[in-house]
Amino acid sequence: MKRLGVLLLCALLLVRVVSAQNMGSIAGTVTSQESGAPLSGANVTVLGAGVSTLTGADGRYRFAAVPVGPYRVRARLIGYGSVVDSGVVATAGETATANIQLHQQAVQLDEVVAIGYGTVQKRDLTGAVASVSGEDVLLKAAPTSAVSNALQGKAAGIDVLTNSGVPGAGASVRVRGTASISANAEPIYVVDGIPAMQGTGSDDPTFNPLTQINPEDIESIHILKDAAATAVYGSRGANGVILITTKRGQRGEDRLTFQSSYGVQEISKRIPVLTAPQYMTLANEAYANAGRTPRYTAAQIASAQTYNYPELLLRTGPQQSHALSLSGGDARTRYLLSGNYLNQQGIILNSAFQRYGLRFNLDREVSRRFRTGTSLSVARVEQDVDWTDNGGIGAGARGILAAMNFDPSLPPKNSNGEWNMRAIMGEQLENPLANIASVVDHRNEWRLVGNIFAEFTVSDAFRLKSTFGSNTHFWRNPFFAPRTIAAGASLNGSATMGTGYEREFINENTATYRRPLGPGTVDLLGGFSVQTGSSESSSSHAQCFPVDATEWNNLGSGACQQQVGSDYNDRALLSVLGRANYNLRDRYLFTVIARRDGSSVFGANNKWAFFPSASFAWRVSDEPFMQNQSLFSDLKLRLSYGTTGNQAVIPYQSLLRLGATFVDIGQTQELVGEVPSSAAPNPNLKWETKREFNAGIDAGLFNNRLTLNLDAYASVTKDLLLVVNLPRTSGYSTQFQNVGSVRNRGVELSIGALAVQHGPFTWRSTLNVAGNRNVVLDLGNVRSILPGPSRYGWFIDGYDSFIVQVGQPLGSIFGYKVNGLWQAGDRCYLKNTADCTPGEYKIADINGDGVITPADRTILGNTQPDFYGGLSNNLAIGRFTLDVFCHFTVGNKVVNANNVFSELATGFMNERAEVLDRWTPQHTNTMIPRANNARPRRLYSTFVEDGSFFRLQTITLGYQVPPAFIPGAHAARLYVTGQNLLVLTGYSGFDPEVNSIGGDSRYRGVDAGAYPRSRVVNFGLSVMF
Amino acid sequence: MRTTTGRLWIAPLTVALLGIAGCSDMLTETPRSFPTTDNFYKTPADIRSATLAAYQPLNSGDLYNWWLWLTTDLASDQVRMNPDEPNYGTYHPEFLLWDATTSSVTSEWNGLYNTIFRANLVLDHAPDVQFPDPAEQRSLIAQAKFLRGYAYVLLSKLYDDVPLLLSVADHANLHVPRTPVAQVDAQAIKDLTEAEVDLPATWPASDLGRASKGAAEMALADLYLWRSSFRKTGEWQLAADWAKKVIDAGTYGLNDDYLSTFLPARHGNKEMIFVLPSSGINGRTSMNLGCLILPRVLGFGTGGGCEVIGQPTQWHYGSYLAGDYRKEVTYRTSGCSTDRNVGCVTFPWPNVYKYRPTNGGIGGPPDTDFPVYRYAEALLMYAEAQNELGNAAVAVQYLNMIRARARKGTGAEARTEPHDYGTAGEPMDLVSLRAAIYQERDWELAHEAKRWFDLVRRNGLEPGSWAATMDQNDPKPAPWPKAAGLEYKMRWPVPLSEMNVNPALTQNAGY
Repeated sequence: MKRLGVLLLCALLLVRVVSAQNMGSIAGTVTSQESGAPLSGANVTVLGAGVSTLTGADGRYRFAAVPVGPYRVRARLIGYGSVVDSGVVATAGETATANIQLHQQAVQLDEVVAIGYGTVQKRDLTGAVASVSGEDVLLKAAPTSAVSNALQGKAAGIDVLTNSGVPGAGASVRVRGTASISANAEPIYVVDGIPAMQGTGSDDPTFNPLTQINPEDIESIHILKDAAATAVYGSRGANGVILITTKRGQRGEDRLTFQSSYGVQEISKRIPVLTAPQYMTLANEAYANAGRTPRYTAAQIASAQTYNYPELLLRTGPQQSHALSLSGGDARTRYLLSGNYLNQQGIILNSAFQRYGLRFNLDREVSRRFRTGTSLSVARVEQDVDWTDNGGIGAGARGILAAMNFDPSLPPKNSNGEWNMRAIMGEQLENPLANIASVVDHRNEWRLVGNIFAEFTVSDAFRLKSTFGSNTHFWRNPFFAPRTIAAGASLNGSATMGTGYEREFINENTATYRRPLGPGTVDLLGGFSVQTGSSESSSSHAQCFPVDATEWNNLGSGACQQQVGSDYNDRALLSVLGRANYNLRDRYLFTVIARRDGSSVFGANNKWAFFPSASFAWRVSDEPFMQNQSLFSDLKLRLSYGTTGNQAVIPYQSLLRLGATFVDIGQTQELVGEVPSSAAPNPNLKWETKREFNAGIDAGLFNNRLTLNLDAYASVTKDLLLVVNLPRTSGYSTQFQNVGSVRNRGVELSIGALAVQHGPFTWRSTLNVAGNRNVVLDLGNVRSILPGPSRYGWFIDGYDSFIVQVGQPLGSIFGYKVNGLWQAGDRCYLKNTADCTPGEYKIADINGDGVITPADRTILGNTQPDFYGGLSNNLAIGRFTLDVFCHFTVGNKVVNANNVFSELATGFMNERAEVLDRWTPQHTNTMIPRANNARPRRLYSTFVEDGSFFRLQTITLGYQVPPAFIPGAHAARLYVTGQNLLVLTGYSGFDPEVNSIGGDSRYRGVDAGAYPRSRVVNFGLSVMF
Repeated sequence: MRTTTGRLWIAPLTVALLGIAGCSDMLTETPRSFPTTDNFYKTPADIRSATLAAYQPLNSGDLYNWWLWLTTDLASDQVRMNPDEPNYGTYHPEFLLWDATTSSVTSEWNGLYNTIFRANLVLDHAPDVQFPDPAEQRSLIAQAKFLRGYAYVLLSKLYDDVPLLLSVADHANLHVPRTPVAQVDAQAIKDLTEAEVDLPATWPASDLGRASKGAAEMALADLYLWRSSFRKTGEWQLAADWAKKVIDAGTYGLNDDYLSTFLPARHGNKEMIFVLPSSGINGRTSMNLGCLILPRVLGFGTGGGCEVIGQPTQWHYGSYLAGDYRKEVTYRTSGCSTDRNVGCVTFPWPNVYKYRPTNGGIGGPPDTDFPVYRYAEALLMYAEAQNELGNAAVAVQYLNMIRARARKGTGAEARTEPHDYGTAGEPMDLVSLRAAIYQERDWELAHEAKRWFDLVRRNGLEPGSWAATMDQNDPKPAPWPKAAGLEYKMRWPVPLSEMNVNPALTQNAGY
């Protein structure tokens, strides 16, 4: 409460309302420079007055009441440039005319770009910023659960790796490579100016707020990439900044827009598994080769029936999304009200994702000098993925992998119609069909995000703005396993309810000042911000219920294993920031940014840090010597250097914490003692610091029909937030320290072309491609770190599947190199000849000691791509449009952990049909080893596969319905979208784009039972009235 | 006009600086969900809490709740790996495959230094706290000394030289070298001897699991026996004296029914000297026994549970004298599942069943206590020490107490086996009697984490016996190597993770 009080105090701002003045009008026509035809739907804005409107069918627009004074009037339209008429003077009682001609172009050079605490025209930009329009988000990924997923392939240097095909899947996003090892390396998301959240790679909406934003509401997304762009976010800028701007109301008639789509999803790839007799034969062979007596008799094999569990689990999943928005405005008030609903039923039984959202955006000119407004949204998300994803491997597998491994000879239910709970194979497995049909494992989220701002124009040059925002999140996650399945059977049901409440408050205050200075113009921004957050959670668990019917709704009736827990933490971030731009003769642009951040999460000795940056851009094409050439219609060179930080640590890491430990002293009683946490305190804990250099070229050729952006960068992040091992003799096991450094270097290229423009036919094409080279430069006292077990870890020998090593990139896969299979007659280089049995893996003896031990592990590849990008083609013929969007990545490796149980021919559980090709004395030309129940399960190089792919992500055919067809409609569009129709890859699993472990940079690119991806066909309609 | 706005633009900066200055105290963290050390170790209640915490590592996965118990069982010739365990090929202890990175032999180091750190927190702070009852203060200090001493006994038995840390300040030295094992043993003896003075002879039932005088005496007997055999220090008399002190205390005795010693209904029975209680209330304070007693064919292991990993070796199972009651109750060869689709099953291999939780090991954590020291071992320790001192008759007398109890079966039976040693013409020479005592320990103390240490320390008296016994009783299938040639594994490796961050450490030979 005390903090809230201080915050309110800090928010106090003097506001003076200035009385209204005389009004004039501005009107005109927007036409095409090429054809002279009037352009309808162009967005016309009176800059400085903050009003805008759309042109009508005749290309005309009109602003009826504009305060008198000189203005710049801007018109823009997608597919055309934007033109500013800077000599418009509104005179009291008169109508000033501003007719504007727009020039058709491939890429908009003069679009307005959000840069954090302000906007700038793209031509004046000095940093590296990528733009994605709201239309792109909708067209190329619809429907989307997490908005981060929609950025995939849309902008150079943004590597988006979606985790799986699970409804509501999250994505791990890297802007210009991974700049951190164990701290969160996801970018920060700023929604309508409020630094709302740092990204996470989680599929769980409890931890991934991006699933709660409706893509229909998005006007534009800008991605700040280099230090010049991100420094304004200081300690949170090192991983890139993603600015999301939502749609706002426009002055003019009220517009009602309705959008609706229906689609069907089907698994995009099927992987055959062994039939029951094939599995039993494999198991017997594997047992025999391990010197054990066979499991199954010939009669059992002969009479076995096959139940195809993967097929029993799958279905055709319907999905639908609907959105309705109402927007409009008059001279002083503009509004947008929207609602949306998304329902995606997954391709595995009982998996679903639903979102309900409401948004209200309002802008009000209280007076000529005082403007206020609000952005409010509330969203509810329900995710129900009932053990269809996020399992481990082996007995801990869930979903499709569990089905592939389950006993194919066991019917799902017994003759009484009860579930067969488990298959007793070498390894016991729970019936995946029973689990998925019966377990309840919901995620229910409510999130309220909103802000109110007030802007006060002291003079034309000097403005003050204050924003107060809040991000509040409630979650409630029930779990229930009934007694009819293995997870609840021995306990007569098992239920848990977890709830939480998180809130963030932010107040940001900025002042901007603009004036001519010498031969140029100076723009200054100064501000301060206060952000506080807290999080509370509790959970309750019980077992032994009298009946299953009450599920999780009566935990008190559970007679045993009652457990409760709760937690609380809070944090604060204080910042002072400034930015100075100097525009010299419209050709030389200088920007200096500085931000000083103080964060509560760091050590008492290092609460504050300073993040400066400087950048320069030279508009070569505006030089007098360029005026006589016609090749370059636009040419700009950019340079920047700066420092940003990463403060992604949970609170209290720097303190000496005590925690409860439980001891049984006495007969069946539990006592509690206090012990120091296993992590040692560190009062010097501080930010990760990233220094980045960037050089870029922006060019427009042939009258901007061809545009090109090329950026090269190099960054070094030091003082990494690393969990460092301490000697256990110290009484602690780890300490959070700032040690080590990582370097990223890369090149990004975007090319846009208006390839054909002939009569009603246009063809635009854009390609972006980026490559990043990452290397660990230093790890403090050690040369390498084995990050330890991840979720599937215990089932792989040594469970270290990755290594972080100096001189190597992050994501280095660490395991045993297999050079084919031992064949009869091979010279055995191992001491124990039994290790060279024909049909076994021929494992490289890296240290040459004649024994295969963990010392023979080596780096088997890397999960980071060599390069990746997107290719977009848009064709229009009259009323028809065709958008084809492809996404590709080249050179990354994927750890196919599924195959540890599915393709190692151990016979522990059912395996992929590929093992029919296993080695036998008669069939030696293969890479599948002989059946052997005793084969160690290590990370063999045979599980490390090339993850390169080229995906036809979306293909959309659209038709602009003549408005006359729908009474009252202003515009209407029908479309059909195919999603994921084609993937070119050599990967043997379901899909090479997979990230089962989520956001942790050290485990990126693992496939451990990932929910398979679907192929989607979607039909949609949107109508504007 | 220009001058006005020129001055105005300073205003927001002023506001910013003033605002931030006023808010700066927001950056100080004041956690609400846990205390920090600044406000702890000040009151008697804090010291009680800290002492309880020092007991916890013994019952953790690093020590008797998983690795110490599982590794020593699997690595010995008493227990084999269940070939149905999916980690069969990757579980190092069974095949002696560990190295300095393997958690099966390095977790114990971690657990033992946890114990020592927590004991040192008590020993550093307790003397400065004013207790209403000074006896309680002495008792808490004695308990901490016992725990520290016992941890050093285990470190010495597993790793030889280890860092010797005796205060919280010692722990802060991140580059601490290993201390010669003789000094470590001397400190353990000092701690245990001092603890023995102040520890109570018995505890009320509500304090079951706390160290008593008998616990310290047993730890001393254990250490002297270890030193005398493994290190050939010849301290047999000291071993005999401490064991005899336990035997003569009158506090402890043998139960008539061997099985009843382990039954949860008889928590803290007279045979238990130092025990790790298993609450049965919650997994965090219960032994992880499912992995020992739940046969895979019954189908209990799914859903995060655990199934049998270790089973008796053919040699051990076949070694009992015909009709030995202990074999009948220590193992089972059939059982019934609560899963109706499984029903009752005969197992392909016997499984351990001397620990019998009230709930059968399913539907919640087991309530079966784990014996660290019990009276039967005191008798066998005394017998062994007397034999080595040349008093064969005394040795046989105490050995036969164990056998006599086994003959009582469920309590009132008069079985013929195991017959008294010597009554069937068994030789009475020192070496034969030693072999008989070791064998009796194998039967009597089966699955109590004793056999590995017995095999290792016997190798001190009879060089080569470790490998020969292992290869004879528990031969490893191809491609796993024989024990002969792996003698260095009798000493466990200093964890590599420890050496990576402490350059002052050296490694044991062979690793």
